[in-house]
Amino acid sequence: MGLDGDIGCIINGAGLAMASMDMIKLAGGEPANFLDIGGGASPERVVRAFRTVLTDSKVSVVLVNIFAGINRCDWVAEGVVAAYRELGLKLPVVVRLAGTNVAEGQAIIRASGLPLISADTLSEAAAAAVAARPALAA
Amino acid sequence: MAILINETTKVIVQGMSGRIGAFHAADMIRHGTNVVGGVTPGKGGETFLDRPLFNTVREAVIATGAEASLVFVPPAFAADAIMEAADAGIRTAVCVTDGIPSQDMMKVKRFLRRYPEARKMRLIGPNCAGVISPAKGFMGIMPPHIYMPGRVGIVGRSGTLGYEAASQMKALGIGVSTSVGIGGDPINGSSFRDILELFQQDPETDAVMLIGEIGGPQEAEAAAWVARNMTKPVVAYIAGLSAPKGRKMGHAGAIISAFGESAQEKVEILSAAGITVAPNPSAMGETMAGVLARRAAA
Repeated sequence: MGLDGDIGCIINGAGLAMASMDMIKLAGGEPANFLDIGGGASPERVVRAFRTVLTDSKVSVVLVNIFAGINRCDWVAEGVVAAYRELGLKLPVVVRLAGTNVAEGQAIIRASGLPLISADTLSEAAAAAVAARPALAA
Repeated sequence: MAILINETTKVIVQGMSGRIGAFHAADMIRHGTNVVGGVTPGKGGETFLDRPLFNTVREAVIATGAEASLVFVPPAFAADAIMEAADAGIRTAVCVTDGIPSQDMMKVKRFLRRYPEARKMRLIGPNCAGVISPAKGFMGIMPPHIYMPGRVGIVGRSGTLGYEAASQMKALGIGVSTSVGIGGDPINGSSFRDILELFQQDPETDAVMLIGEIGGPQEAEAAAWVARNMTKPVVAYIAGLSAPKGRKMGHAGAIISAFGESAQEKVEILSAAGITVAPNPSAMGETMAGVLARRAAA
């Protein structure tokens, strides 16, 4: 789904997606799009999500916000790391993981050694995504 | 006793031997849910997760006395599975499946209405995270560790926002009696109002967190009911304050198509009914904490 801003959002669940958009606006940013990875997302599906979100040239930051129930944070984390490497990402990526297998997921993010920005809560994630935008000429 | 499920509720899982069904059924058993069997047509007589499998729900009910069923059945077959459960005497069915055609759900609603009140099945969902009474049992796909047992009920259309509310409250030391996901579809089994009635009657629930979103009339109906009947405090959050009109926001039911369906309008309607509305999704926990503190002081 395309919108007007510059923060690309990869989220699970429609409600969390809408809530994340609300929080991004509150933090002073604008979402460029949001993509719901759905339930039981494999690492490959997460990589595809990155490809899709990045087809929008307006995107300057990617926010991954996952509160996993039927999803698994470890699979999502593997997907994020794979996407970062395979797509040779340069732009800032904020990752917030919670729920099922969260410890495993966070360990994968830490062990990757990639410059991913971690956040624990919804508000931290939104604020981090807004803060991470490159200082473009407005 | 919380609502809809507790430690004694006998639960079957329709579609237990499937990939998703197996993962979550195992998690339910691990967390103390009284899972007495599963239904997978063609696998009757086999054992799965140390539980018997049956070909039909009726066989499962006769053999186990099951009262509740969790439906993990693909969209094309889910409506049939729900009606089968109702016909077999199941009291509460929770359907997680996303993507059931609205036409099928209309058929299901008409089917359920035929039964006399005394043996009418309550349907939760579809397209929902399920129901959990922390430390007692759950039927669904939620991560149980994020819930602290306690005395606040949660009811929401979005599963993930229900998780968000539960974890924010846990961080503040506020526990949950039961959390119910009513699902994101435009036609669902139970509404906000249905679940609020149960929480109002439940002696183990002191207050309710209601998580709505754009689209549909359910929040306004709930507000009208709360204003007339609810004595327990209700806190709400409505997702989609930044959502544009006329676009479907992920959930099939999340589309602003009529007057009163935007987040701003719903916030006004709920506030007018005496419901405390959290200003943003990160403030659900602290808003509930504030309401509980004021009530304790009163």
